[in-house]
Amino acid sequence: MERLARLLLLLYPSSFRRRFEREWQEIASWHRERLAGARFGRTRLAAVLLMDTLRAAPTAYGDVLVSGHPYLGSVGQDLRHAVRGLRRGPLFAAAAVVSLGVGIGSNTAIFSVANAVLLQPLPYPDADRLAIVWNEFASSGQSRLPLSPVEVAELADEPGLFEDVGGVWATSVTVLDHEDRLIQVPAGRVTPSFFSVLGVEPALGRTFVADAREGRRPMGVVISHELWTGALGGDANILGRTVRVDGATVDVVGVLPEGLKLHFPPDGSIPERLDVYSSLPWDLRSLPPALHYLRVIGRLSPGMDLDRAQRGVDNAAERARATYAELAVTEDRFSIHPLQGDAVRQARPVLLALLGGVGLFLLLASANVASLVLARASVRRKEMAVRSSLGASGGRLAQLLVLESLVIGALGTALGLWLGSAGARVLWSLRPDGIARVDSVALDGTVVGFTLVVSAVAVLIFGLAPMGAVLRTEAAQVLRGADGRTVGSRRTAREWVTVGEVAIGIVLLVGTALLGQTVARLARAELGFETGNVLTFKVALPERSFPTDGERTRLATEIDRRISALPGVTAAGATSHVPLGTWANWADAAPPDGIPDDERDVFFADHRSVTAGYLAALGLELVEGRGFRETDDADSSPVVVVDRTMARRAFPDGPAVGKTLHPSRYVGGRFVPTPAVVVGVVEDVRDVSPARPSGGQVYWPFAQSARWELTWAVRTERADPADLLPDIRREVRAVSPDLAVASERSMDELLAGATDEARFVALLGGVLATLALVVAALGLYSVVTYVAIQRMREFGLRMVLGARREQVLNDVLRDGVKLGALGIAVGLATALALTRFLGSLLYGVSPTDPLTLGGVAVFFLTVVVVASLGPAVRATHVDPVTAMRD
Amino acid sequence: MGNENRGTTKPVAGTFFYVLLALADRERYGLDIAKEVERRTGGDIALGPGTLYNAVRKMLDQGLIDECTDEERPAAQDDPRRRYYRITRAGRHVLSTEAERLEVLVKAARAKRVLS
Repeated sequence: MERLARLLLLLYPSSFRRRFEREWQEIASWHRERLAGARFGRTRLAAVLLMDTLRAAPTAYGDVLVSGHPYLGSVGQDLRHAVRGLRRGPLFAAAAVVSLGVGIGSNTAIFSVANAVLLQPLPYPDADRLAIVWNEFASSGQSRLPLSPVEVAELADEPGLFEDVGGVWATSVTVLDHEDRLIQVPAGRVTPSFFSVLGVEPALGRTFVADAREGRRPMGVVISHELWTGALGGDANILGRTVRVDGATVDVVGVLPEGLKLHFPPDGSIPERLDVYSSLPWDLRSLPPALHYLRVIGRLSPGMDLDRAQRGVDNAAERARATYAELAVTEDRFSIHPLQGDAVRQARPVLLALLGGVGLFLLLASANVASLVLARASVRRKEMAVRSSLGASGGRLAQLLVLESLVIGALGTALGLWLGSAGARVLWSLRPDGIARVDSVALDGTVVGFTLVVSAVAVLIFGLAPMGAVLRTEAAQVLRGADGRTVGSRRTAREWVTVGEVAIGIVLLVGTALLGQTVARLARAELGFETGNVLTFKVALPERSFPTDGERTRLATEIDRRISALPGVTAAGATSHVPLGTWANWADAAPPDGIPDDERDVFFADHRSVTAGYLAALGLELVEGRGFRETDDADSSPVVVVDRTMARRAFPDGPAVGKTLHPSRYVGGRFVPTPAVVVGVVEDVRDVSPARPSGGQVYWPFAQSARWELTWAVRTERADPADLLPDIRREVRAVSPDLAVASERSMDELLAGATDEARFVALLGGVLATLALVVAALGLYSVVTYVAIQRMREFGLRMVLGARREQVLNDVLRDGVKLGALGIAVGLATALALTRFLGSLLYGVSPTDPLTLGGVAVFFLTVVVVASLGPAVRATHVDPVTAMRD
Repeated sequence: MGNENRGTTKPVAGTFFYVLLALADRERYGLDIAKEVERRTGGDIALGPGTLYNAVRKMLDQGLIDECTDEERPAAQDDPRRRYYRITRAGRHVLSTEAERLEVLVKAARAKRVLS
């Protein structure tokens, strides 16, 4: 509300503000107290202040102008005239100000989000020099994969490229909190230089880079400010202390600044906040060269542009291939992108589509105001004609009209800014994760500037367009009373405006219909598994606490067994990567027999390691062979299950079962390529997003590839799967006190999260399209009514001469439908040209889907007929005598 | 304009009358004026800030009210930035003329049994 008061105050002349600002504010606050707690108190307060300003500000301007400048006296006078005129037509003024305000407000709201997400720099020093590097595997068509540590080392060695370069890999660890409870928190393994690349200084202590530069192995952990003040109790002596991480005792060497966020692209699988960081050794070349897991960012040397940087990373990739035999086969190259652009690359099309939508809507709102101005102008033609014949120059009449438009524009802008800042807050609270880059959106200078420009354009559209029509009126003709009684074949300006309104409405409706279908299709997408009544939760099996594969297998089997035995549980099993969850993917080559090294990458597949009950718990359909059994253990011969895509790729000519693949598995702390016999084939699973088909998956029995983290899927008969949680926590703790349950979600929640973005866009599109539909229908209704009134005398005459009511009805309907049809045609053509920009947001529906376009056209035509029906029926009830006398 | 009453005994606009009436008994500052008007009208009239200060500005111009000097300010415990206004002779004249005019009208309304 303070914001509204400040905005309103800006509408007064500066002399008024200088003199009365403080006292004005004091009285505004009194009104706020007076209305606090009253019904609709805030709305009433806004109305009181808005009306007060509407009354007082123009008068204040008028007086100021008159007192100083004789010429401007006429402006002051006309301004007062304009305001008085608007006050005399309060409905017109309110309709115009509200349409404009909603139009400008929606633009302000969307732009303020777009500004915060796309335009504001990332919150790091010299953020424009930060770049992200990805691996591109040309041979298998996979892109945006992480790098291996030695590749980071090669990048660091490339002369002049980076000031600093580092990488991060996200996982999770268990931490003993200050009340001796085990919690699972997101954690990062980073290269020692990671924080100096970002330019982040610790709030307390140090990061790893100092140790590393002095030749010591970086030890201990750096923790987030939030973990320190939260779970660790905010101990002021935290730096001297040790904490229990994954069952081991480690020193806390540093605490990061409060609110530090990592801004990686959503497909980078790095959450915004990691709580516990530990360091890789300084010598990255001592690590396995072919494991690609680091998300790599670099701080470009000053003056380095992206083209030269791309050449630099190409050199580094070539050196890596030449140096390491393991990398020689992968044909990989690196791509480098600005970190900011990459981080928002998924949000950008969403926001641009929304900006386009609200832009169109503002155009529609301006057209609506133009139409209102025209309607009023036709009523006021007599007034104008009288003024003109009394000697007012055309310029003076134009000045009056412009001032009216300016007053409407100013009020609409004030309302728009207010609605916009409120709307931005609402948008922010609804935002899907993909758009979450900043903490908040604000009306800063950029946003206000944008709003003012947009408003100026809108005022030009609705203010100047009708002026010609009004001024062209011949005074003599109007005064004779000859005006408005005949209808020529030429369309009037108002009719064209209506055609435009319908066309814009069509475009918005088509866009929304396409987005709506996307949401519906995503919800119905063949995921490959059943989501209903499934609870998921994560359990980390830290290797520090449970170093052997056998130990981790025993824990997993025991948890499986205990949870399956809980009442109400129909199936339970665990996987390293739960569909639609958050994890860093692990993919590797899994070629069949006899594939030469340089073709191995064609058989890249996601690595999944699962317990025996998993396939059943998720309802994965077996299409060939068998699933896993408890007898597929560490001692038996290696077996895998593959998905349909992988089976078709590796064995296009026959059944996959019984054949051999060479995927990697996790044994003894390393990924080791191991020949394994395919025992079964399952349906494809969409585990990244409902819109993304499988790229091929290989499932290992957990006993033969015992990773460090599992997510259980528990299918239950209970109505609310979450009811199981207390039992599950108890059972997991009973297996080992060092285990903690985390990330508890139902499968339906995971699915909802994965389709958030599409629903968000469709929802906003729906709101815009509904508003547009209403505005366009009202515009059409008023124009048809207006035309019908103008033809009343004609109708009366015809009915006297024997015309039937149906003929009059048809005539009026035809007027409306002709206008509507023209608008629909223009709209469809525009939609065809524009919807391809929605392409990347759509799933399962083409941007030019004929059914959608046709459906929207038919729907709109119905709206057109309904909107025309009212005036048409009224025209048939005209009393011929009255009509002809008027 | 509805507010043209310069040096005349023409009817004054509502806001002017309210402000003059509020200042009739003592000096007041802006918020105090608004509160007094609300009290006197039984809560019917809550002047908006723009309306009030537009009226104040014009009444100062027309000499109906004055800004108090430091010596004239009522109490020292007050915020020194606050501006107090007092009614002038001209203002009092306009106020009483207007009140008499209204009284005549009220009497007429009584005579016609509009008011009991």
